Amino acid sequence: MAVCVSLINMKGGVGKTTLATQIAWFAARDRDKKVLLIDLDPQANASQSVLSPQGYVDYLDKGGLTVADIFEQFTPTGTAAGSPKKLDPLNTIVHRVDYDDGSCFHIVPSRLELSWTLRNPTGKETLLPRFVAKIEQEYDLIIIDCSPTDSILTDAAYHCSRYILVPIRAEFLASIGFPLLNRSLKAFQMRHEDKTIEVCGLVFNDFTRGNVKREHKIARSDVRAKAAQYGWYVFKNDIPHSDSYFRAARDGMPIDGTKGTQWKVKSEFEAFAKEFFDRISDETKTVTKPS
Amino acid sequence: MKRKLSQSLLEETVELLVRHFGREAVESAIKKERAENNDKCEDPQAPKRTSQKPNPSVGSMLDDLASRDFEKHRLLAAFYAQLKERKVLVDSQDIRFFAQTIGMKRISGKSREDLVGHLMRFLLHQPADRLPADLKKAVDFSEAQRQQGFSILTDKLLKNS
Repeated sequence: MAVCVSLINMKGGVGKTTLATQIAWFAARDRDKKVLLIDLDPQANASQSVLSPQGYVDYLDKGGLTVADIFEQFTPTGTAAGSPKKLDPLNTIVHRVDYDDGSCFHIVPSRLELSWTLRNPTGKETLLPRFVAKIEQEYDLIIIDCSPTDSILTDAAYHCSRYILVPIRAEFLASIGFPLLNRSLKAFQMRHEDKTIEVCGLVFNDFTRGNVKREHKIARSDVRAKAAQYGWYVFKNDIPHSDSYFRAARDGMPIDGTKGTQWKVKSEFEAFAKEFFDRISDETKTVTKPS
Repeated sequence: MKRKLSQSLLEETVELLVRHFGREAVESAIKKERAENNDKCEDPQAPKRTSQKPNPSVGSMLDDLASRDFEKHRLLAAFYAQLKERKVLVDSQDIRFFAQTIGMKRISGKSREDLVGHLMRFLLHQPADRLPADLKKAVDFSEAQRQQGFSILTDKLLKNS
């Protein structure tokens, strides 16, 4: 059965999508895992990157199903793909690549119309977990790339997930979303006592190497203090800024297959990814629940 | 003498890297690099290699294929010719994209020629029924196509907004 991890931070622009796609590549290529990435952001940047801009447009033009159809499948009118019809879960999954050893990287793309779900959200938070329950035996790891708002979509992600990964940038107001995330998680757990969901960690992302500015130090220390308060783990391995991540995202490629990526950048990401897998694979490890 | 000097220099370099990044990181990097390059690094203890090439050339592998599977040979020979004439996958990066899409976890090589060799060896081991669909994708990989893709996506998003 797959382990499901959601990337959530109520603050935008922290690198959720970049991290989600790079973890997916690493898991499939370096760990030989069967990976499914669910793009749960109406902006659909993960889909555009992984499928390529042209591939994504072609997919939509051909009437390809998206995560919006999972949420809107029982809506009488205004569904993303026309009138309501029974949805075959496999039809929403696009095979980015299948390897000879059985590992793979698949994606459930998103589209702008996913935002319609937010207009009429009643009862829809269980549709994504129902979808995941049908396909999870096919995968080792399911990653959900969430949008930076607390909504029905976040609730749906909580329902599916065992772990939450929180990317952060060491900058002004870095920890502003933490109380919201903590409250949102606590509220969810109070409503669903049978469900186990834990923050597997916070990772500092996209900061300039060396010459650390005073504001960044303050932001880091603020984040660490808040993390300690909530009992959240902070990853030992950070992911410093590199333009190669932009190139990798643009080209829909893994960081270590992207032209011009320095060895240091590759090894920094690999060190984080290994720590991430240590955190999620050892179920006996104490991962602290929100206080 | 030259060999001894370079050996000690190499040892010093490795020691420096271990001190800086830790033994585990260095060992993991070496292991990965070896895997990527099909273990091109020579073990000093290992018997010296002869000048004979360890792998047959792509050309001779294609020739061998002709008698066993003519259709597969026809497809791959045509594709190899297109690659050599730079009619498809013109840049090294195009080859890397294509390799990633058809299921090659890693492709090593600095020059385009090296990459073409690795790609062809991979394709020669693929089931024949997969090849037509895979090879068809090769025309989609070029910088011009990628740039056009961004423009098409922007137009699509603007139209929908």
